[in-house]
Amino acid sequence: MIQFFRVYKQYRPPAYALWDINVFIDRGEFVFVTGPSGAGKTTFLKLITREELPTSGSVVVNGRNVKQIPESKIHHLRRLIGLVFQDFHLIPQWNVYDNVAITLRVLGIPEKEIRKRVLKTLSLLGLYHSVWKFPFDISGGEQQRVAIARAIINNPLILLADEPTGNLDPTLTREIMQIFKNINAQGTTVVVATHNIDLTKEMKKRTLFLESGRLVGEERY
Amino acid sequence: MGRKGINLTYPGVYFRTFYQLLRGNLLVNLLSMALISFTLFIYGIFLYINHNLNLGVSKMAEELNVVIFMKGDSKPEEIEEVRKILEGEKVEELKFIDGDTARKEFEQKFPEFSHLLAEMGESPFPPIFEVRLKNFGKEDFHLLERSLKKVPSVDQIYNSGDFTMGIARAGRIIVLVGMFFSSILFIASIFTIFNTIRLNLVYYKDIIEILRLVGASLSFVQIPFYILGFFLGISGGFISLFFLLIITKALFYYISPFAEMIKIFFPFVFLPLPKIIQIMGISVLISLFTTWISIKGYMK
Repeated sequence: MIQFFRVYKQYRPPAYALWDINVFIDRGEFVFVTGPSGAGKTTFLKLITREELPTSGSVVVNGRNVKQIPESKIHHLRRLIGLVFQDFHLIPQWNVYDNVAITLRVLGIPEKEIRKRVLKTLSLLGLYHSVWKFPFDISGGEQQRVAIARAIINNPLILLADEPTGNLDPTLTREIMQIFKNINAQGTTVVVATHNIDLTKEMKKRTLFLESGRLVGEERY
Repeated sequence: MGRKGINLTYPGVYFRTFYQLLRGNLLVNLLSMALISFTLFIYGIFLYINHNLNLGVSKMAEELNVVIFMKGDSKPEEIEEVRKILEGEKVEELKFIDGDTARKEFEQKFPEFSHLLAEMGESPFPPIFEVRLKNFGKEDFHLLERSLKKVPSVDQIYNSGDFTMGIARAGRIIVLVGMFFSSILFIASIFTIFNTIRLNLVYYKDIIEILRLVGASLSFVQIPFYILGFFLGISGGFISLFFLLIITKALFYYISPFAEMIKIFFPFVFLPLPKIIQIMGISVLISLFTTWISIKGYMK
């Protein structure tokens, strides 16, 4: 599903954000990418979505080398991937419904179908009562669930989460992780970047350890 | 996974985004529209003047109007001699107006000035011949002029040909001046549209980022901005034409006492459909082209 072959990423010489990364993530796996701040976790995720290109090496997602995808076709790759961010990345001017619906609107799905799926997904995540509210009207935990709803509504092959529980308390963190586990159980490959080592130990999922851009360890449970 | 390419079956999303952009930067968008309108208005003024002068010149060039002023003390046989000279030419119409008839005609056409004539007593108008000649060239006219000047009681001879050429020359100068000013304004409009679209792109930056991350195609992101550019252009065109119509009608109303005289070379006809389409077309083309440049530079 996701393959990194001798991947190097340099933003500004001489420092490397990633150094000689070789990783294979199979379909349906649940993987944590952990390490301190500046370890290269976010860069790792950005290479998968082609927000960044590797300086050298290849990143292959669902059988396609991301370097070979032209700018005009990137959206096809991103439609396979759901993204969840630490700061939610919701659009404040849009209500919860529109924030979630946008994933389907960009695909040209009819509004009737969109309505059905949005309401169903929000219900599954316990957000039915907040459908017409705006992001600033709901709590941090609810906002993160809205972001997750937006990421999964299209049944993506891959779910990437960059510090999804960074702004949440332990109870909400566990709640969010449970949601990820449920999504993973349905076959979606889940990759979570987090600096929270305790969380990775608690979840007992495959964990990649990054430090100063290098893969320094791996743990499988 | 949904349809590829532009989703034409759901234009509501594009128009909704366009509306958000329009409202989000309303003042800037309105200022941009105002400048485009002003530019096209100025351009339209020169088009209007040029169009009417061309019409006037075409009409006047079809026939040559000659007015022969006789001296006030002309004898009947001298008047008859001039009539004989004129009757031999390619005359469409020949009219002799004596002083009293001329006075009556003036009082009818310009009643607001009749009080001036009443104060004078005797008619100040000399006898004249009004001649309309068709298919009469410059050479023909010079020969006629020589024959007429031999008659001692012929005072002055005016012909519309010189006047027509003067109008045509003035028209050409006006066009050149118009082109110069319009070019400057068009350049200013291009910069304004470019910056307006760029401002809207920046305003929408965060949303664009999210749209791209959830898999929106470039066209999905860009189309609302093209709609905005089109809207600015077409609105500017409509507004400019509206004000052009108002101003030209008001002008005609304002000069209505002299309208009959001026209409000879300036018929006060509003722009024909091809010219209106030209104005709208230029407006939309410039707006869309500038929008394209602005977007291209921003979304590399």
